[in-house]
Amino acid sequence: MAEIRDTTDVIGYFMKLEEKYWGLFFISLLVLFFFLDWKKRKIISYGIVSYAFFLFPLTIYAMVKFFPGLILYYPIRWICQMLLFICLAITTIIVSLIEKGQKKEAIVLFGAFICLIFLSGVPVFLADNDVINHESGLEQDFIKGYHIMTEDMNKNNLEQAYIWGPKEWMSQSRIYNTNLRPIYGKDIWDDSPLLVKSQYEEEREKLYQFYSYYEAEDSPVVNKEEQLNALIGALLIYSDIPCDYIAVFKSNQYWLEKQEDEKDKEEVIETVKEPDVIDVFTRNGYEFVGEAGNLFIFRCGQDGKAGDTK
Amino acid sequence: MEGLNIILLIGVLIFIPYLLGTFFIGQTKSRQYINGVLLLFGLFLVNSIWAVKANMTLAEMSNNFNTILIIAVVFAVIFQIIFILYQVRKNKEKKKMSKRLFDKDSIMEYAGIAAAFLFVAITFFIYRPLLESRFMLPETVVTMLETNSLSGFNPLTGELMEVSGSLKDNLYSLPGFYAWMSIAFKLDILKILFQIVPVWILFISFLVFYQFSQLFFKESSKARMIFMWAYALVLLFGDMAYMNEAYQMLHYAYEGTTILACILLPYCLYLLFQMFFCENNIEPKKMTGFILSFVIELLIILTAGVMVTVWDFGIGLLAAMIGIIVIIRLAVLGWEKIWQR
Repeated sequence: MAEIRDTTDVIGYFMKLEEKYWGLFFISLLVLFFFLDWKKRKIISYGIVSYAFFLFPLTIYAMVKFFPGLILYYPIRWICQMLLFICLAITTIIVSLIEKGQKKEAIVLFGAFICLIFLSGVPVFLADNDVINHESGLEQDFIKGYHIMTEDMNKNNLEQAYIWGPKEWMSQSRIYNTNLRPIYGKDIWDDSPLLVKSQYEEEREKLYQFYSYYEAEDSPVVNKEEQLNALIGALLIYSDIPCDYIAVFKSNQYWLEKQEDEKDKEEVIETVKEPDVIDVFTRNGYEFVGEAGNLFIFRCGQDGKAGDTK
Repeated sequence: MEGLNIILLIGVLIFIPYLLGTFFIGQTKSRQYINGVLLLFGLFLVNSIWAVKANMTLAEMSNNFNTILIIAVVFAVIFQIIFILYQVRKNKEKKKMSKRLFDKDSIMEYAGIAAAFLFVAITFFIYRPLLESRFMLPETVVTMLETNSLSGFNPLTGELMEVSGSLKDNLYSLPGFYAWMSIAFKLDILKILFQIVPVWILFISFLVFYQFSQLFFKESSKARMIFMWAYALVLLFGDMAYMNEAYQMLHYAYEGTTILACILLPYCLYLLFQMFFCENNIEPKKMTGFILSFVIELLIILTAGVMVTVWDFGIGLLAAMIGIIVIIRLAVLGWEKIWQR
């Protein structure tokens, strides 16, 4: 969660494109001040005061400067009730135009308002709709992966299974099947106060770090095969932590998908050797269970201890 | 069978808050419903505290709540019958209300607002909810249902956890509320969380904003309709700023933070506006209803941040909101004194 701790963050907070709603709110207050009935202005004073206290850049700048360590989270804007004042502003203008008999102008203005709101945001239903299963909210590939694992669990009479894999895949697994037990939760990588922070042993923190290196999209020239071997090594070192299944993405490919420049892509493909994930794991004694999109799933030892089938 | 259960759940979500709202005398229908929702949350909260203190399982807690709900509904029905008999005797307000409800402008207004609501509500069936979040409500609910327990687990890993005996660590009232829905109506929890609850929360949020429209545009039904359409459009294209109310509503409608941002805080602001800025408009008999709903809301936010998942935010934001109102009130009073001199 974005937070403001120092003056640099303040500048960043207000310069970010996604923060344009504070601008809309400010314009709305101005509109209301000039157009609203004098009797009702007492009510909009709430908007002005809350804006002045919590959203005005200079106030926040001063607060952070004079009270260092003060953290301001995004939800602070809920006090301001921005949507309320934005809606109020647009309704006030349109109603005043209608009352003056300028219906055409009112319609044009309402259209302009729709455009402004549309351009300020994104219609929610257009965002990545194709890869998500609507019923569960999970990604199709993720569901396929959980399904493969659940079937394998049934075959091997495993009532519950400890899993290790990519962050999001692990964090969503329990929504699909509560018999899947990630070896650490998403609270291990999140400092948000909205989550109850669990106390994880040092070993689990280390495993998380190992996987983070593998998941990182930092450089295409990092030897991913070495990192895969490091994951296997970590499971051996921390064999006290139970792990029944491990899942890995083809990370280079993932990185490549994000590259827009075709030349860059070709260059990377030529210079970087894609590790054969299945080969690396099966060579080390893991059993290949199945693949779901870019995700490869392997079963560890029978008794749940990491890597002791090798 | 599933279809029937869905209809039953929707019926319960519509009629029970409405019935519970009858305890608040002298309110409009929409405010009666919102107050009923607050009372429903409040009752569940009391039930949750009781269940935690008595070390109940989830199933026991659900049965307990069913009983509480039945008792509350019976009381509400009796109360409503007495109230209707009293009104028939007076035979005054009924005429007034029926005139207001079936007025041509009012019908147009309600139809327009209903269209705006449906326009937004339909998105819950064609877009995806967001799960890659920092929240953990779905995991908590599924773990509760799986383990038939109210607490004592890490919902993210399923590991059993040693928790202190404090109420704050053990009280998951909102996840418990959804788990109750799943048990009582034998419905898939994901369907409840991603399709039924969002539409319900959106409905309550619409009602709350409708209160504002009545406050600002008391005389014009057209203006109220425009206001509600503006709200619908802002929500619909609201995917622009993380943690914005619109973003919350369309991506995480089932979360407690959304209930806080889109229902509790706006309604609280509305009540504060009514009490401090429009006191001349409130009749004394209605004031009791206002104060009662304000107190219940205050209790939900203060005593059970857990109901909205965020303990500190609820208290902090509410305190700030009241602080701003007090500052304005004092400033206005000061200004009036200077003016009188």
